[in-house]
Amino acid sequence: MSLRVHKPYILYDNNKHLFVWLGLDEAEAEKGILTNQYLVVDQGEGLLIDPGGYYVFERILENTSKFVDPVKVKALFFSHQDPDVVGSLNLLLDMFPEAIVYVSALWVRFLPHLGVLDTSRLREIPDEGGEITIGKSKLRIIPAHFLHSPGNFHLYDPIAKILFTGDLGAAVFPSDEWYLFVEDFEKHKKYMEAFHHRYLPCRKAIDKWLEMIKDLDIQVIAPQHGAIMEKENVAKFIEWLRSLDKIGLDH
Amino acid sequence: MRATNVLVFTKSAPDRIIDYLSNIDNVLPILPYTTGRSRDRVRLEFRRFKVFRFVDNYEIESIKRDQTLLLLFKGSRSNIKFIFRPIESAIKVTVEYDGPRGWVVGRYLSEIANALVYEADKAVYSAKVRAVKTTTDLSSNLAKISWVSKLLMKSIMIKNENRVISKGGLLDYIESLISEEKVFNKYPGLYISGDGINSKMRLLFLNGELKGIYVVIGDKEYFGNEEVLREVGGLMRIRVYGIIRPELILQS
Ligand SMILES: [Fe+2]
Ligand SMILES: [Fe+2]
Repeated sequence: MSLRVHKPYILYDNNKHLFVWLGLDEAEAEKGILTNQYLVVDQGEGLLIDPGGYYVFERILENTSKFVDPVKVKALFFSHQDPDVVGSLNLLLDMFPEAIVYVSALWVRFLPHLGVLDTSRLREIPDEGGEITIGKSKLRIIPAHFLHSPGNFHLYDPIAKILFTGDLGAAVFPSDEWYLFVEDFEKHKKYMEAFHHRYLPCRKAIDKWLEMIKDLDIQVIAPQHGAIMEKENVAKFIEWLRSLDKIGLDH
Repeated sequence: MRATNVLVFTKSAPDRIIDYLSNIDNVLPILPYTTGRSRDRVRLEFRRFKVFRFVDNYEIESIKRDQTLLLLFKGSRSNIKFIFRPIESAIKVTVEYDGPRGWVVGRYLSEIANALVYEADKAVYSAKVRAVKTTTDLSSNLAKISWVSKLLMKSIMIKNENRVISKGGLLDYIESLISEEKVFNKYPGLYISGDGINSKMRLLFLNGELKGIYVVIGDKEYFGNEEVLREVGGLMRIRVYGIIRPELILQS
């Protein structure tokens, strides 16, 4: 049985500001590596976070349209350059005609290889990060370099108090299991371990990130793979990262 | 125990929709409030701010007798029954709930009943439309996101611009675009799409000839109608894609 959950789930809603998880598809060839895509809507304008590859596109478009007119999607945020993040760029540029693409300055020049010769809608994010305005809200682009990509960013929503962490916090589920919200952190960390030991380059990258986020009020951690961590699990996750050793080159 | 009735009018034949919903594999992807799966169980979760949260894991059973479908959700703290019955051009869903916090959970269950019928209707309806339309009808293919997706994944975006186009001037603009830009001659096919204030168009050129036209004005769709292009104008956001090997897409 393939895992498809095509209904979105609202993570935050105060009537003016929404943060939505956009559903799930499991490609047959990548058992367990499920990708999460998210939508932020503020005052009728939208932003898509790591909108992903070709085979998830129809679901993304349909679910996004339930909350915001595709023409009002003003921004696409790419945490880094991997195919599960940027794969459907050509489609996104057509179906969200007003959207500006935000991606690390390191990767902008590689995107034309996806078949985009007109780069007028691509914007470089400098190494130090920045801000994206959607409606009346300002989302903060937080540097998270080498976690795992050399030009890598997270996105913090100060209204929903949700931190999108890209591949950090990625979990790989066993083939007969999936959940959206972490309930048992001790069990969940086993699903995260392999990824963090192999894909992250070194301990120092995590330490820099811990310093970067220490003043943020984070209620929810929303990763691109695996499950969402809330409340006490946010603190547990940060503690777990602090304790990780034998990472990347030291593995 | 709590019971409520929901009546949903449908585009497709109610018995076809009920057939569709009798297959649990069809129900799972369209089930709202799903937050987990494990083997044969599905987790549903309802939450409102910080005041209310209800979670349970259910085993689903489908029982169909004559025209009536019973979807039985057996959880560890609660049981839900959805009973679907066709009534002329509608489906009546009776929702029975046995478990805690019925007065809040009930509201979500009515929403689920509605969504299941709505999504199944959509799936049955589009399968029927697919069967009727031939794949060689390029204009109606342009209306399908799945087809355009395939097209664009094998294409190169060459131009992106915003342009004010006078009423009736769209084809002139496109002609000048094609003759001006030498790069367009490199591609055997071109896909040009545009969004205006109240209109949307998708055009397909093969070897310089306009072969597919899909236009939306307001909420009305037009297929293969060159005349209607005269109605498209104003400020348009235009994208032009070169199609490297159109034969790959046209076969599919
Ligand atoms: Fe990655
Ligand atoms: Fe990833």
